[in-house]
Amino acid sequence: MRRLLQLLVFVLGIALGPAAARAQPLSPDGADTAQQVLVLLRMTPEHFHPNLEYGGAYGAGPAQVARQRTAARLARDYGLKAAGGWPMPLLGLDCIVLAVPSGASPDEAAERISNDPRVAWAEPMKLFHGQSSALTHNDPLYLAQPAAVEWRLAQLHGFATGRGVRVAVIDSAVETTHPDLAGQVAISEDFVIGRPGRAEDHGTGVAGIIAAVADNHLGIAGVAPGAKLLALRACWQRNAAGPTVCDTLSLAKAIYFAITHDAQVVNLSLSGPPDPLLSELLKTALARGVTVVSAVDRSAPRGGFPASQTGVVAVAQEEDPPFPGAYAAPGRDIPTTQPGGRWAMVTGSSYAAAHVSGLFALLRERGSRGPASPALVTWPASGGRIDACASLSRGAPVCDCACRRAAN
Amino acid sequence: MTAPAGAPPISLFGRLARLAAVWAVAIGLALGASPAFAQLAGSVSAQTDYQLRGATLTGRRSAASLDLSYEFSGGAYAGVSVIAADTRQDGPQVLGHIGYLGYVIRTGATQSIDVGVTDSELTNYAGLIERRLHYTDLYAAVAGEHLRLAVQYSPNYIAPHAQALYIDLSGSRPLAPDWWLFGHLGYLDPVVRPSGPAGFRSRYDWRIGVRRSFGRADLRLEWAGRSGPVATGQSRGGLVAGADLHF
Repeated sequence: MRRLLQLLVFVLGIALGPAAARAQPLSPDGADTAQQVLVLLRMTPEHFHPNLEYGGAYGAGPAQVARQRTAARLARDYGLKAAGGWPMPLLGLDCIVLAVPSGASPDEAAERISNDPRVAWAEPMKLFHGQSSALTHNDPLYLAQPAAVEWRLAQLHGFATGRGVRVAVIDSAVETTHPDLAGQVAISEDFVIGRPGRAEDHGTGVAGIIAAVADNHLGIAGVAPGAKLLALRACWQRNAAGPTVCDTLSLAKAIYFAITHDAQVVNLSLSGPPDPLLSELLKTALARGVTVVSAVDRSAPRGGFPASQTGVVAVAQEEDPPFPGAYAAPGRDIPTTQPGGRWAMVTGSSYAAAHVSGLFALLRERGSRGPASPALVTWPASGGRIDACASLSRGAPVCDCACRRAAN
Repeated sequence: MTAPAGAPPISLFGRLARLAAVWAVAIGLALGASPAFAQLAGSVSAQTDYQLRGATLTGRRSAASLDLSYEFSGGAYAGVSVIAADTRQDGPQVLGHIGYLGYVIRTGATQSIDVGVTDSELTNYAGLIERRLHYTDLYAAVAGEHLRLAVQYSPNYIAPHAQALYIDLSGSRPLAPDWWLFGHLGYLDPVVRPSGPAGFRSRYDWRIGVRRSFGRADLRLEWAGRSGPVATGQSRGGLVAGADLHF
């Protein structure tokens, strides 16, 4: 036993000596990979050692040490630094990673090394990029939004987000302090008389669908997260869970305000009887190139007013049977912002209209020429279901958003 | 040339002369090879027993060895292993050396063919009387990623005109990062069996063990054994522990 210990101490003494320092594992470090060169070698296979166990074609021990030594020699010969490597038995190659000093060209280094007869070939480390912008948003409720799939919202946002576009939300009070609407409301006005303003469900929900902040790890992503909202309270909520009601005067004031404050899109997720004052104001808005979007009321003649007004974009809930003359957009079980910093599911053509308002904001950013309210592209025989991607990429062969991006 | 049991050992000078001859041939081969990644490599090992084809040469006592090899870029290689043993009667002694010269060529991504010659001069300290062993082997091996099959032919195994064939099947497989399982099965067959005390019967030997790698160093533990009769006081199998340092 004593002699065995002597032998082991002898071996350990060698192991702890400077000449036998533990070899650094050949694994890539965290250096800038763009400044690295890959050197591919065809290493001599492991040969017979009478006193050593067979370690496999690329075994540890002598083979590993040999690879490390080769990497160090190459690095020294070319003034580079060994940065890792690994064997690839399936290819019969050893790959050595050499780091190129900052300021030096990895391409030139690779070309020089490739001419070395000892080397199979060398190539600079290359970077590869994903071919589309965010295919999704990091908003946790994003994938619950029907538009995420139907409209490929994330891909649309690779083209436009509504930046620079003002959308007037004429509705009940919007919770401008909602975390998912932070920074999205440019102007907030209250035109309701005698009813103090506080955040209300309908307006907050519509606003969120149009312009909720995207990729803030919160809630949803708006259809036009780059747009700015004019939150114009012209309606009020009758009670905590009651319906939203508006009157002619508050609506007129709000529409007037929207026109005079350069709103490019006006969202009216409401319906009522035809009104001459409001009709005149809407004609003025349309004449000035404002896109007016309104929700359809199926129970009212021709979908109710203002949806029935000529020039107004009428929108119905796509989950219901098609409504003549109206577009169909997602309107059922839509996650959106709600007062109290919350999110909840909502249903109704109001929210379908909000989707279309957001879509027009995207079109406006893209600088669509021609009518202020160009015809949207719909899916064939779909009862007006909007093909958002084709609408955004109008004027070109219909294809998916990805190829439209390439064409641009 | 084999010295009879009990005869004076060949001088150290004689051994070095043989080694120099091996290296001279190796260097001659090197002259024809390109100076690419030729390199010197080596290992230092220690273990609790030194066995030759399943038979202990140290009587289950410790041994240490130094393996040096020179690898030429074209596949040729040459090397020598020097073994020292902790003998029962005389303490640490040089047990012997094995010189080798070979050529390995890759035939596939993980397949290779290896041929060569070894010259072994060892002393068996396990018996009651020291016994000198000297033989030459011609070997040919085919290896894959995890298995190697080698056939070794000796025209003078242990005794003049004693031809022997040794078949060696060895394997190695990773169990986990830095952990390896290895095994060996060998079969020794006397093709031409000499008469007298130098004669031996066919036998097989085996080893199975695990190896843990610590960068350049390995620790291993194996169970090794053999068939056939053994010397008095010895067993056919037992645990062998070892350590290797590669450089």
